[in-house]
Amino acid sequence: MLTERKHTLILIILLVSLPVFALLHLNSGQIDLGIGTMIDSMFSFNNENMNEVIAREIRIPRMLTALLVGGSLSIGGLLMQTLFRNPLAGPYVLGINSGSSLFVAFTIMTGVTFFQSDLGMIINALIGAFLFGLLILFFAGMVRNQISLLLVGIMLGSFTSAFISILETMSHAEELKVYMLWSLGSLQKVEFHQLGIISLIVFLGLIGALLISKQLNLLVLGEREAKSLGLNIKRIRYLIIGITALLTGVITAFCGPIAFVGLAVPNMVRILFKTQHHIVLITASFLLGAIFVMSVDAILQLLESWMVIPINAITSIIGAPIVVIIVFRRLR
Amino acid sequence: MRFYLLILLGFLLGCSSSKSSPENGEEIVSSEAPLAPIEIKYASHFKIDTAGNHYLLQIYDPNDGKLEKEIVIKQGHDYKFISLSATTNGMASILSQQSSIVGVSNHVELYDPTLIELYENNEIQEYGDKSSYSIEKIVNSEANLIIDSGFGQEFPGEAKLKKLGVEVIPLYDWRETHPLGKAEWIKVIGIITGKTNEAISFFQNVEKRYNEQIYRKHDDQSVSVLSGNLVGDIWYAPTGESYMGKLIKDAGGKYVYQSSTGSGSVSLTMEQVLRDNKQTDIWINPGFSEKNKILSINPHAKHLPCFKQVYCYSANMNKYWERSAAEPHLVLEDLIQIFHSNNLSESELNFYTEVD
Amino acid sequence: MIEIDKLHIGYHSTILEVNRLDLKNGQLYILIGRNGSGKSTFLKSLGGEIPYLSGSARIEKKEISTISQSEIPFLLSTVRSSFNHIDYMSVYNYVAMGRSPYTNAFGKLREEDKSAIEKAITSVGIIHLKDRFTSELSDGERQLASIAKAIAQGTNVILLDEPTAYLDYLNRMNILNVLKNIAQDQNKCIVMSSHDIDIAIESNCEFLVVTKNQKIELFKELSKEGILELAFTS
Repeated sequence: MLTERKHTLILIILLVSLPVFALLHLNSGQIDLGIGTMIDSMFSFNNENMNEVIAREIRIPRMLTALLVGGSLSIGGLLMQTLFRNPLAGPYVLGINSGSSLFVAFTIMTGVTFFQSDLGMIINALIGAFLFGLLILFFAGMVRNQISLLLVGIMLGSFTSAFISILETMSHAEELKVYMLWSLGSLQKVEFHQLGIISLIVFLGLIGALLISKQLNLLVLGEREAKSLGLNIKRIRYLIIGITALLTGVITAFCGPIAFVGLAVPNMVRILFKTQHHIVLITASFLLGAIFVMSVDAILQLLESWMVIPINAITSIIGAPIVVIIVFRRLR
Repeated sequence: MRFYLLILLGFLLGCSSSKSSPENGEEIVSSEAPLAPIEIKYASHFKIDTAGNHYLLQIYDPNDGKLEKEIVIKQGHDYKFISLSATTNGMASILSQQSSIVGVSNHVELYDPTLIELYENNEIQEYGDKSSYSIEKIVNSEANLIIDSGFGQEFPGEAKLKKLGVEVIPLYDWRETHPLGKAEWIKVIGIITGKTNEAISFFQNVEKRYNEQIYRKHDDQSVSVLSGNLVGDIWYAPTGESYMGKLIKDAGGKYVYQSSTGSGSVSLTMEQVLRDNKQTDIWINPGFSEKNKILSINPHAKHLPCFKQVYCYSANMNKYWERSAAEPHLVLEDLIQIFHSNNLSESELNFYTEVD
Repeated sequence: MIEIDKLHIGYHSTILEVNRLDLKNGQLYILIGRNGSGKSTFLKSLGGEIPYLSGSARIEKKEISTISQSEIPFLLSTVRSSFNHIDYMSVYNYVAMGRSPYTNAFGKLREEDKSAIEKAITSVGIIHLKDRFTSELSDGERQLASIAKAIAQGTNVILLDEPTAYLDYLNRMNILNVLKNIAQDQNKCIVMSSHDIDIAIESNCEFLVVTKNQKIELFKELSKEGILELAFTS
């Protein structure tokens, strides 16, 4: 079919441009490292050479983090949008992130050392994301309107920040500072050796999402219709929440909350592909999300000689208007 | 009628004595003595003039240097104030005027034992930070003055407070770039608490000791120093012209960003910091007292060679915030020790401690 | 084919009673009755969505209450009174969803699926619209797409709950004719509910009437007066 070929073509273009954008990102830093240094830093690493240290510990992880953050949050957003049949849904706006934040805040500010390990952070962020996902699911059953669901998400967010501010008053200055800095969100805190576990979890999430793509297609029809075609609604809901928690939890644990990527990218993908075929949507969200965050971050790197801008400022500047546009289109 | 004559006399005497050397301040002890404008040598954000036999405190906006506020500080008046700046607590303590303080922002930040005791005896109340204080609580107290660090533009509710007889003074010591300029703000606390002369002589002593200590044995082997840490993705390093830049220089350290200008800080990325500090020996002021906390906000810090030698003013954080402004010679002393002593003993340090 | 024996349906207490019914393939049955008489409940009970209280109802010789959720889509398909359009979903892809019980884990369409989809779209007469988005269709066309999806599902039994409720006269007639032809040509057992008597009379089909005393009875032929008498006058 014609459209199928068109989809494949766009996917191939995205796939090919991914490494192009990755290379652009690697070369937009303030320090001119050169591809040679980066290759050396990977295959014959000399930790005495500061340029190689910068390449291996900062530049390359930053690029891969941008890639994983973009891909992972975009799929998370897509899953939420399909589950709630709401283009305004996303892990950030629905407060799934807030769940992670709450649990991470709790661990950072109580200062229990086991929980401050990488694994502890991931597990906490995952549990937080999953529980808040279930909460949202519960509320979604009670509100009919798409914008109301958004309000519920905002309320969850406010509730969480209120709770965290109480935690703050009880915690020590330095723990508080660690949390505050985490909550700003950053692509630059990930270390080389952590990339393995993050990639693995994101990969599992991606595979999980692809495996339920047929069920997601059915869910688009609405729950009753999907049910009459044999879909086990309850199971698929939990699966979606679980996969979303996996994808957003791991990112939130390492990078803090990153705003609006999950909401904006799937909407761009739908406009670009004009399909509800989830294999296409998932793959494209991953690729376009990765490219989106990598290019935003590359621009930030280029601007660094004038000013250092936090990643969330830019994703919000791009993402918030998209929310507004969708709201207007829906309300009209 | 006789009363007015006395005031007039006092005023005349005050004018005439202003011609005499202000260095002799110590000799004028009597509170009935005529007032002279107080000389300000280092600080740039305030001046003290006279108005009759009262002082006129002029605060200048650190951003544009324009006169921000003029407040008559009446002599012999019993000022009771809420101190929302740690420096104020420290300076009042140095002048033994803790009893003038009726409120602080948070008792856990107190260092001075007398202040802590006053808090425990309910003579000092907590007022929280200025974004969340209660006007009614302030009006209900005996406070007639609020001394605030002046973050941001205006103290919230200032106009209301003024109508109710409560003045607000911003203490811009933290905006001074010269360490002695910071210390000189003790003169402000001095005129408020009626301890003008004590404040002046305390400052003179600090000035003398600071200047005596400045490290002058510059050799090629001098240690290189990095300061600051990441906030989000930005490393804020104090400029060479800033307070910390000046201290590092006076302590004989070779500050990596010495050539940077301006009164605040330069923003750097972690990449730039790694590039610029391949050979740096010592890292000061990372903002955290433990290495694992530094790593949790800045995991790449471990690639800095100077991560082996990190010092922070965290021996007693409360003490640092209360006392470092008034006693910069002690900060200088610490830095000289850290930079030049071969076998550094932590117990000799006033504020700093090695981070591990 | 559907066989019913002494069936009592309702949520807690019986609201409808069906003594004995044999609904055969090759026939379109129009379920007629007042609003709120329990037509939807009856269809939902047949669809396995609401458990019935007592008695027996069999589809293709299988007792409905014993059929598993995952087996239902192979035995019967349903069409609702209306469906909101779905952004960016073409008619073809929408109808293709009817094949999902048969496709693999990724929903890959095989040749036989593709021909079933084409055939279903053709049989409702909207093959010219197959590449249009559902958002671009009129209400009538969208309802035809819904029916095509049910046909593509390949079951003998198709249940339609007020499929003409939101349509104008011509569209109603069209839907009715389409359903009648499909029942005859493809040998299916189709039950559609309606509260519109005129349509029912004109269609010349067999009727299932929800009578005043809360029973469902089959009539091969009936006049408008007859229906009114049976179902509507109190």
